[in-house]
Amino acid sequence: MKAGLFFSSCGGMLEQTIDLKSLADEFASQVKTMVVGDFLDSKDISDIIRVVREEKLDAVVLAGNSPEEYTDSRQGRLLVDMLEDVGINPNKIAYVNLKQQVALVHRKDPVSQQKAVLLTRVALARIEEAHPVQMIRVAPRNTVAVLGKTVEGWLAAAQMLKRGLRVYLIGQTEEEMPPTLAPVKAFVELNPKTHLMEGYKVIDVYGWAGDLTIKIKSNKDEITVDVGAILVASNKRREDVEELRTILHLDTDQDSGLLVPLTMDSRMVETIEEGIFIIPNLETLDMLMRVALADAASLAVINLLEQPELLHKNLVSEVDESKCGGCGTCVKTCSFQASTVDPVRRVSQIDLRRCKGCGNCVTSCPTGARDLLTYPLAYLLKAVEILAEFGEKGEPKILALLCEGCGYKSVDDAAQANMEYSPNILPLGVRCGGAIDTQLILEAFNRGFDGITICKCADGHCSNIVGNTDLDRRANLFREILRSRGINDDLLRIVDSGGRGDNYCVNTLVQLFEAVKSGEVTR
Amino acid sequence: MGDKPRVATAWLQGCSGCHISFLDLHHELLDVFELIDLKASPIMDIKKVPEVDVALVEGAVSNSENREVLKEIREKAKILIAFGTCASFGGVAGLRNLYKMEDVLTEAYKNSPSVTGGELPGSPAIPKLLSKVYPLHDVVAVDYHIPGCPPLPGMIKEILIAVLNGEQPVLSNRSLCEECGRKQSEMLIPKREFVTNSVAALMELEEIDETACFLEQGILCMGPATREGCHARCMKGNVPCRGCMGPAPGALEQGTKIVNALASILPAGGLMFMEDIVGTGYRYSLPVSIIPSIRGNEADE
Repeated sequence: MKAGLFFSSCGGMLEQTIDLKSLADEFASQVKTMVVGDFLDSKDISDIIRVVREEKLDAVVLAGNSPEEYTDSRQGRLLVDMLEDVGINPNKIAYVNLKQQVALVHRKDPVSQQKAVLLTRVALARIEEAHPVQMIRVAPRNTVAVLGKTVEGWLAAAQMLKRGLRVYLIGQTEEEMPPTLAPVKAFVELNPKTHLMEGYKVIDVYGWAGDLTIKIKSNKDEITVDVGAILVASNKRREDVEELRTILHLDTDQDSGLLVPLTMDSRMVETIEEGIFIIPNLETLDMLMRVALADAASLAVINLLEQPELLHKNLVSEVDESKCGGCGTCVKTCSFQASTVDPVRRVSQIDLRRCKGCGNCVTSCPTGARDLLTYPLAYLLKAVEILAEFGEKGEPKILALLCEGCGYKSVDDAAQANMEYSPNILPLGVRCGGAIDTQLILEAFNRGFDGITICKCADGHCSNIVGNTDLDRRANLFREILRSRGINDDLLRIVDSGGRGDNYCVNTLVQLFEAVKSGEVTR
Repeated sequence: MGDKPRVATAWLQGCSGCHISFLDLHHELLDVFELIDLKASPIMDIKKVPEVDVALVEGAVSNSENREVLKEIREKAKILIAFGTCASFGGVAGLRNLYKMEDVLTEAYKNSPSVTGGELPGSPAIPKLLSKVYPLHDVVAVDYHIPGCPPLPGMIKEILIAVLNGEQPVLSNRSLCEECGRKQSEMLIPKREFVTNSVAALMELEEIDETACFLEQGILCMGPATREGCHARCMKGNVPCRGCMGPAPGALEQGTKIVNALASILPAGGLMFMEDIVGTGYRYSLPVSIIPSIRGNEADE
């Protein structure tokens, strides 16, 4: 593997705290290093791509922005997409969040430099240990399922029919159309490419963008429909989406219980699931806005399905059959029905079209036969070992295990809100609360962390449905193991990240650090 | 006689069960003795280990004598095999690592109901108890392991002969479920539900189905987190697995792994109420856990 390590000063923001030049020098003997001004700037992007090509790199670490910033804005992934286009496997691209995890939160602290070094080493360990993901080529189906006979549903259906897509309009109830929009409904109803599925509800969805399978059920029968994309057009009442959330694995708002988009500004009809779109629920939904949102959503679907080919990243967990005893634990753990035991060979197998790569089965597998491609256990153990080097001996150290769906974002937000905290709180992103193996927690205590805080999703908000529940169940039993080693189990704290825009997560981290430091909680 | 590989066996902190299992080869022992020249063993009259090709060492390291003897054997043996669960993982006696050494001594010599006016042993003639129990590989380099409490006689023979022939002995990496053979039904249904509503202790049940998976009957079984190779003897006797073969090699340890697994199989409330999770999960392997002892037991010099 030939790796490149690129640093961005994030438009000069980082250099007040971190000496990027000497940070780059630290690694110059191991990997190709380069410092640029901004990963989101077209000149710097083309410079990086040029170096990657010239040096024939096959792995890249981007040290600067939070990985969230690449997904949160429209075209934010440009650099990442271009790296993938020149042949870097997605799992061989890792991020060091120098901006939100160091520069913004420990501005004047002289140990920031050491922390930056350690976080960079963790990212290098990631590209070293992560297994390459398999890319699956998908020719998108030119069919879309619209869930909900709402105003937006009819409007979006009409737009997509005009572009030649086949539309399944599925819904048990129907919203009344305002008189001015009555012709839209007539157009959809009379179009030969429309399938009006009266009285059906969705009971199962699996597959990926461009190739999704939906099972729908009515009083009479059960039908399977293959589509390229799904648009959820009814997102106004909690009871409409409650069931749908667990079938589609989407994020919901903690207060309203309604589906939330990827971001509330530039990506407001997209969701964490590529290929599944929603009409977001806004405070003011006048007719003008509703029409605009329906147009935006239909454009997003059309943009996706009109591509000749989509690349699906297969992030699923792996099975090492030589280690699998066929016990069935993974079968009972998976909430996507992706795990089964082959009745003849007696080994566990994974349904690629159902697996979300959440890592819950990896945690539960009692023989270690399963592993995640993106966050293999070997990487997590290495990361804990590296982070444990931080600071002077005897100084309290807290490990923050952050669910990438919520806790990670929540800690980023605190940084954005100018909240500073002790550098002795060391962050490590993980796939999901359900992907946190109690072996890893025990290892963190073993390596010298005094306390561990896990930031996971609140009840009913885990995009992997049960990752948070299973983490709680495991931790409840695991606390007994901690106590048996003479470790105060109050040193393991699990908090609901509270979604975005809330500092609860960071506050809990700081509280545990302060409590350990003052001796209020005995180590 | 002179050409045969020289072999010795010894025991440290163990119960001699592994040696008994070796003797349980019965007439097959003759085949083994055709191949080896047994130079020293607790089962014969020569106990002092001379220079040998292969040494089989039973038992864990628990006191200063165990440690000294083991180091001497390591120097004299070309190949050292950790013989049985105590030697490989610390074994049942390793559970004392859950207590501070002073507490262990006080409990044994003073507080025990069978003791009156007891005193802690202080004589220099008595080996010093180490702060915790160690598997052999924590003290010296170990070439091979034969897990099992005790290991199957056939397994001892197979591994010994493989080593004598210069071959790599083969142990399975899988869990016991593979060779258990009990019928699974609920465990294999891809549905998020506990396989049973309640957790039961063995003696509570009037009847235990001899053919069905123990977990599906609400009985805590260590099989999923335990390496196979014992031919599921306990299960055949209608007793759940207690984990003596140690963790599967893909797992870092047994106790946390069974916790991870059970959380989606059996109701946690029942488990916490009914079972000694620590004692069950680490019954045979606490000294090879990620944290092998209660904090405060200082490292032995």
